Amino acid sequence: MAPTTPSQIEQDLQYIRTAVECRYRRGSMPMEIALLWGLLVLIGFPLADFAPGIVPIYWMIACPGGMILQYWLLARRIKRHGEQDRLALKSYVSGSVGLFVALGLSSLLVIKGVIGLKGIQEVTILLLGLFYFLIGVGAKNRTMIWLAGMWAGAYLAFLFIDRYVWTVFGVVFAVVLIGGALVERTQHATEA
Amino acid sequence: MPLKREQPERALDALQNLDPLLEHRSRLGACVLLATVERASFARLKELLKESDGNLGAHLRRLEDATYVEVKKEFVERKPISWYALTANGRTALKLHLKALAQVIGKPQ
Repeated sequence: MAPTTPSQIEQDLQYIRTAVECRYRRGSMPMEIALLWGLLVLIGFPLADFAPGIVPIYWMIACPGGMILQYWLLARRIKRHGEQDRLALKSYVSGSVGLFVALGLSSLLVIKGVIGLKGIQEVTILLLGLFYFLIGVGAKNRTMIWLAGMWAGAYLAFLFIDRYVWTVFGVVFAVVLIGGALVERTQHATEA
Repeated sequence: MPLKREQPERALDALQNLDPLLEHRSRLGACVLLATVERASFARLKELLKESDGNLGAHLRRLEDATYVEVKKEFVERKPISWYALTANGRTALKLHLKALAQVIGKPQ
């Protein structure tokens, strides 16, 4: 039956709104991506405490490798959920490229002698925290906002503590990342 | 929501501008969802719109016949999948229909 009254139209629009909201609700942390970064962080962060010499090499391989693998996993996940969305993938790539540009430019501070290695570590942590926070707010993803809060906590911890902060941070980060994805998955299963 | 008194004539005009094909909520819902994504599978639309296979298939066929949507069939992991996309024609029709709807319910566009 055709909707001819404003109230019928309002009801139909509510139905459509629910469908659209349901579509965007799926934009949470995929389990496979949480596992990927959880594992990389679990190995990579403690290296700063136990084998600092190989940290740059590790992250030079793990970071771009992880990003590429994450892109592939995202594309596969979107398609499996019955959607093809190059725009969403493009915005993901743009965000990651923006982060790398900011990190690259911040390294100029060290090269020019404005700040030391300790300083660049703090700047990197703040940039990553901001990156996670913006993603979390944009995607309404609580796990990402929690992780952003953790980056802020790590920033403060590194100001006052020198030993084993990376190891503790790495373990807690991986637990929150994977745990958050598990909680979101359970919530989605309940809502469905 | 009641119509604003100063706008009844405008709302009546707007009623005539509604696209009959998009007056059904499932067809309108399918077009709105397809406007937010490049392509969506039949199963995904069915899941989001909470429609039965038969009903959704019939609605999508009508949209396809009117060239509002186009369908592409392919195999993903050996399963046949129908991918639906909104055409330029469908996008224009949707835009006009939503504009008319906004006038009918008296909301600013």
